[in-house]
Amino acid sequence: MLFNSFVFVGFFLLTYALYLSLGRRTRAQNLLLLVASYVFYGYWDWRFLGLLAVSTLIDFTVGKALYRAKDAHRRKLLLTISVCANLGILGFFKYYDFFARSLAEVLRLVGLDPDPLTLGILLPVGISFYTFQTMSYTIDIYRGKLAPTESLLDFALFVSFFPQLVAGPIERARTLLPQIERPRRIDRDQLAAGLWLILWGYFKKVVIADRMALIVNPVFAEQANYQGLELVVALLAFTVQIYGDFSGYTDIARGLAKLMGFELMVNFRLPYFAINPSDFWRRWHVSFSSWLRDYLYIPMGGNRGGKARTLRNLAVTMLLGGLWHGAAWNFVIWGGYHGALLVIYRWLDPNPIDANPWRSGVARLRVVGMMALMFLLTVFGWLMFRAQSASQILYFLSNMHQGLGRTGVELLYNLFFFAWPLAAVQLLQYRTGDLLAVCGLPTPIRIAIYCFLFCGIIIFGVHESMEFIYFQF
Amino acid sequence: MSEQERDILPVERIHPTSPRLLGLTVVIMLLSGVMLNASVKLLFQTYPGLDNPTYGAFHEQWRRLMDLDRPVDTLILGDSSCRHGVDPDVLDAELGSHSLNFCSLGNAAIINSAWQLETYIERHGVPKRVILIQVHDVWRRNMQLPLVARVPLPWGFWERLRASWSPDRRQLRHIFLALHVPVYSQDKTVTELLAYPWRARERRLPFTPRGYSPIERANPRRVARDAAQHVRKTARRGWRLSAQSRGALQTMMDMADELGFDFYVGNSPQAEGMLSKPQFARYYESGQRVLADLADTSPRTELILSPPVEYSRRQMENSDHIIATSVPSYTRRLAAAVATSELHRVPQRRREQ
Repeated sequence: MLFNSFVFVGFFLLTYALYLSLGRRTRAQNLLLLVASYVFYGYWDWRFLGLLAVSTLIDFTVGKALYRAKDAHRRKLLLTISVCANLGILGFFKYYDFFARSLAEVLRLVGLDPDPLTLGILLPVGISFYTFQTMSYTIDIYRGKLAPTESLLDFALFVSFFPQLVAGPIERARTLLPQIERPRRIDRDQLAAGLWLILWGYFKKVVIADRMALIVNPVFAEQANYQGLELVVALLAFTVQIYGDFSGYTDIARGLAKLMGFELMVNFRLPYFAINPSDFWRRWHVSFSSWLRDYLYIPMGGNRGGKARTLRNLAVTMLLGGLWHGAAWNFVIWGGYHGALLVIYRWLDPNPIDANPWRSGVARLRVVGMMALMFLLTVFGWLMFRAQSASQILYFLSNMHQGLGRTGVELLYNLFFFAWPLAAVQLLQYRTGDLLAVCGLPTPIRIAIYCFLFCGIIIFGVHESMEFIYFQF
Repeated sequence: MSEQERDILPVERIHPTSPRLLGLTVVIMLLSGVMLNASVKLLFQTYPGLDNPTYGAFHEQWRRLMDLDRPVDTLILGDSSCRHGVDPDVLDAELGSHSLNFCSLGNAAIINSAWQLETYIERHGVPKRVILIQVHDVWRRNMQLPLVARVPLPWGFWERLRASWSPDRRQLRHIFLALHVPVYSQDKTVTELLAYPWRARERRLPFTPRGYSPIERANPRRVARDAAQHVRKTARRGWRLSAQSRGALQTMMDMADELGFDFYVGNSPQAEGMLSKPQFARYYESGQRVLADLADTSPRTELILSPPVEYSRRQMENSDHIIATSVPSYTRRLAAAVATSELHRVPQRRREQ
């Protein structure tokens, strides 16, 4: 069920009421949350509950065995079982048809005409997220950073916790499991922060992102009918849409978790204010980029082993990171593009600014220039991400300068009208360095903002439930 | 996060609050939503033309019915084709009657006409005659839920009236939202008003005091497009009478039989050339056969204006709306159809039957 649906609101209110009624009975609360999480996931498609359960059982069992095993060979074998099982599930459901079709295309290039054996496999919602989450558990046990949990209930809840199950943040067992295992206390400050995140998250999703979709989708569906400013605005609108959609979902997830006394990791730290690609990936989808860093980049050698090896590791990590997003070549290309940006920046500037740029002695204009350049590079990357074909990318690039188009000015107005609150809040967050800056404003101003956002959701919210973009990953 | 990163990257700082302040914030926020909704409701009640102009027309016709202070002998009911196409002044000159036009919209479907008829009879007694004019594709429709909400009768009227209809829970929720939560049900209109305030204007369709709404300008291109679309649609689906429409029509026929008024079911004006397309002609004819068969079951009901009266594109705004200069001719044809009908000519024999 989508967060932006009446069904979910009813589901959460009921679950929350029961949760609160259980007081500090942690085990009972965990059981309730587990049942609720399975109901939540089963509402999408009950057939994939088994997959979730299997992934949970495998890693729970492997985790315990891994911890007890003393023999290095046996430990490696157990880890391999966990990784292969998770990647196998992910690979089959997400990539089988893609690779089968791609192989068939390659064979056609050399004159063969195979019938690709595609299976029309349905992609289980959230599979990319929860498989990565469970893999991090067994890998951390293998590395000696974590002791396994003895409670299958707690582990199952760690895997399936409904606020973050289908689109992250990808949590680490080291941070989430202890919160599951011990009694939770919901304090009023956490409650207030949670309510703000939920409100802001819904606004970002149903007002900003979904309104941007109304600009983006027609242009990308039939780009030949658009040109010039219309294409530029559509691309900018997608830049806003994907951020509003994904960060909106994360905020709602984190807000819901806070209401229940859980702290999920911050997933976005104002990515469009980044000054270089490294900075961008410290700010965008942080749970995923840190997962790649800790479980792919560093094990490959990271930045130890010379410049060439570092650049190689960066490129491979980002390529695979792109592939994670979806079974399509444009995602791989997008990942490769970001990898190339990281490589080029690392090569051109081996000592990037590693302190607050505004206090680093660098001229302010230069910092603004770096931000603007990084923003433009990011927007270009989103074109690859969203485009349905290489010819569409070429069309955009070759027609962006062709005047205003019939509706360019109107689209630009729509973009500004619906996106300005995002810019305003983000500027405040950036200036104060506080992602909860609105919560710290004087009471009358804060209440006025809350009322504005609430009324905005009611009036401007797109009611036809639009799925979150990252659900398709 | 490292110390370095904490210096560069924004973090979440928890800001202290009190339970009272938190509660107050939530209450004020919810109240703001309630006040917003109340304001929007008041706005649309004061300026119904700000809303969709066709909804305004629907409201106008029901308002005319509810404000009627004396009976008439002829009710003209149906969709927008007769709202724009039948002038009661012309009809009365031909028939020597006293009529009013309460025609509304195609999306109000037949059941709205049945409800209007029942409401009229309850307040003013039995009319002498009722004329129902519909476009060929309205018979398949059910009444749109936002329009149900705009019928100015007490909640639940749809089950109390003889032409009854039982909405399911989803439909009831929709009607409730349309009636009481205009910020949700009319969000598109509200968004337009707020996002593009310079475009806001009250759009009211012109009406004569007797319910006729004239169209001044023809739109030949639109007529051609509209006609082509109708012909295309009939290739995909046959003529159909929805269960709701069948029930409403049957109720009206039964009332005619029981209460003794003449009930005429007529066809809307139509763009010329549509019936020359074989598939459209087949579709249309099949509908006429069904309606004729149904009319035959009622001694007080007659199908008229079959085949329909056709007009050129220069005389129409779309494929079933004629412009004001063509209205007298259509209304006279309607009057002639009534005057030469069996019901009109031999009312005594019909009653005896």
